[in-house]
Amino acid sequence: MSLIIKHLHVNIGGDPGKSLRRRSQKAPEKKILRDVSLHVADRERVGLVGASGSGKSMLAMSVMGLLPRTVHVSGSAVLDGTELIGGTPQDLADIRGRAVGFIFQDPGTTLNPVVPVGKQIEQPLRRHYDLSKEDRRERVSAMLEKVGLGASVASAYPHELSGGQQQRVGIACALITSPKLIIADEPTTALDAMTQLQIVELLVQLVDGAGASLLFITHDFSVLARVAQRSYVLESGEIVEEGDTAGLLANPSSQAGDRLVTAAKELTFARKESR
Amino acid sequence: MLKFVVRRLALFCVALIVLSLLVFACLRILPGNVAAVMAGTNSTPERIAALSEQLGLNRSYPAQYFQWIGDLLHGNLGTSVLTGRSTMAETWQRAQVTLPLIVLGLLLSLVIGIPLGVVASSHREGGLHSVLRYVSLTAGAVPALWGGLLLILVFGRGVGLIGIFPSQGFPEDGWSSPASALVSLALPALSVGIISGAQMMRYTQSALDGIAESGYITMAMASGSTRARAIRTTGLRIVLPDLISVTGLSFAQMITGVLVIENLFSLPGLASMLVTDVGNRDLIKVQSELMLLAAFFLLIGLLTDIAHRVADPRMRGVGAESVAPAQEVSA
Ligand SMILES: Nc1ncnc2c1ncn2[C@@H]1O[C@H](COP(=O)(O)OP(=O)(O)OP(=O)(O)O)[C@@H](O)[C@H]1O
Ligand SMILES: [Mg+2]
Repeated sequence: MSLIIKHLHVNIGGDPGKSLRRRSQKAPEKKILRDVSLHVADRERVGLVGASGSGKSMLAMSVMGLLPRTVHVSGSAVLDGTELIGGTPQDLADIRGRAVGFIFQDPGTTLNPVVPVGKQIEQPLRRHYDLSKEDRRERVSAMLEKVGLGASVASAYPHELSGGQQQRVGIACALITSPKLIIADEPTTALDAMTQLQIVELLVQLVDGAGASLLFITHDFSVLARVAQRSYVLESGEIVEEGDTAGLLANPSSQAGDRLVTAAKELTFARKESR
Repeated sequence: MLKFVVRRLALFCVALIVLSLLVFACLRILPGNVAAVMAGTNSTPERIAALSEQLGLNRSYPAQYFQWIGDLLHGNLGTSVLTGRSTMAETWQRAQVTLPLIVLGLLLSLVIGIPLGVVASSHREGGLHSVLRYVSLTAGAVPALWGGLLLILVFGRGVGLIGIFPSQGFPEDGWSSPASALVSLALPALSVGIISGAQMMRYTQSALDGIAESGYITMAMASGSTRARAIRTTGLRIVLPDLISVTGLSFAQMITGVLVIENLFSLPGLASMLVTDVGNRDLIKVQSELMLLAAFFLLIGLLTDIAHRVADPRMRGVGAESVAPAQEVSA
């Protein structure tokens, strides 16, 4: 499945209309993303790198309608021929969790703390498909095995799992309906180095196995080489560089790219020294 | 969980004992001899002495206390010296008015408050949000007496604009004619229910507003829900433990509200019994009634705490101790 984003602008604040009270305290508009264009081809794994605050999460959330209405999104984002920008909340909800799966940075603040994880993995199935209870349970068990957790984990609550296990649950939630596009927003940032590696390997294997496309968001160049064939560098809301990941890593042409690569190298170096 | 219930039950018993001592001590430390107060200002010394004798008030305090507690535990609340009726029988009869009234009021409060709170929260960016907010603020600030009067003026049979509900009294034969009993509780239950429902709505809304832009809602949306739906399902489930606590509180609040409402609607309930007995200075009976009331409050607290635990898996089971400090911080 392909995703083609063209001239995407995202602004926050300004006039949301309607209420008088709000209009009188009209805040100045803040530009979060400016004229961003990017594409993910069918079965391609694409990286999006940028420093913290550059607007990576906003990019992922805005095209899928995950932002509140006070955020203004314009431009175009086409998912296999379907325009996403300007779609109704219901249209976008129908796509999320079925055609597109999300994995978030911190499963600790995204998994529902009071519901067993099996029920949460089941959610996208319930929303989009009419399956029997046994059917759903079977699929959840199979999915849990796939992400390297036992089927018995289904009855556990998030707080009973480690960070790495929680992120495996996060991946299971995203992949249960076999979506053809996965958007992973810094899925390994909250994890330690060893677990990061495992999760990245798992994700790549599952995405390839399912024949899906992947948009992998990170600020850490060091994991990118493993994940993405092609990458974009985002800086203060603008794409400043694009190219195949190996080339980008070897000699970045933008300042932002250079900084991120240097930071990744220094980190890797520091890690090796400390061993 | 079991450990928690046992510990909480123990606490419940300790609190009951402390309260009973308090109630007992209050009536005896207060100025004036209990028998003299009960006999009235114009009674002869002989009458006071006889009453003291009859009530066992000339025995030692510990003897009186244990006698009283022993009777209470056997469900024996004594007979009123003033009316000669069994306190237990009267309490039971009046509870059949008050308890249904409280339960009805609470149900109304939940049925009004929670859905409106959800609607208000899922329309956070529209005008409906502010409208509902003002409505709930206004309705929540209305004193029960005033609200009850207003309801009588609108719906009271004989006085109101749309006189469809009785506004005074309760059927003589009680619940043996369920329809008329229920109808006579309609306006009183609405009076307490609407006010408490407005508070419930404000609470639901602000609890949901607090998590409406959280990762939990984003995650639910990513699974295929619209924001409104995510707030309605995931959001409501996440704030459920807090809503349970608030429900327990409004239950307790409602008991006080009912005191006013029963008198306004001339309902022969527990509250009006308490008021009458205090007026008649039937102190020994008041002592038992206060004790029952306190036990009821404590029981609600106990049940609320347990339900809260059940609804929040983070507090259940082995990990309970390690979660406790975090809960204190958030509280
Ligand atoms: N509700 C908001 N109101 C105003 N500005 C916001 C809001 N949310 C985010 N921003 C701004 O949008 C910009 C982009 O945020 P975003 O979360 O997309 O960054 P990011 O690249 O994902 O960073 P990180 O790596 O830390 O996740 C930031 O400069 C942030 O300050
Ligand atoms: Mg981010």
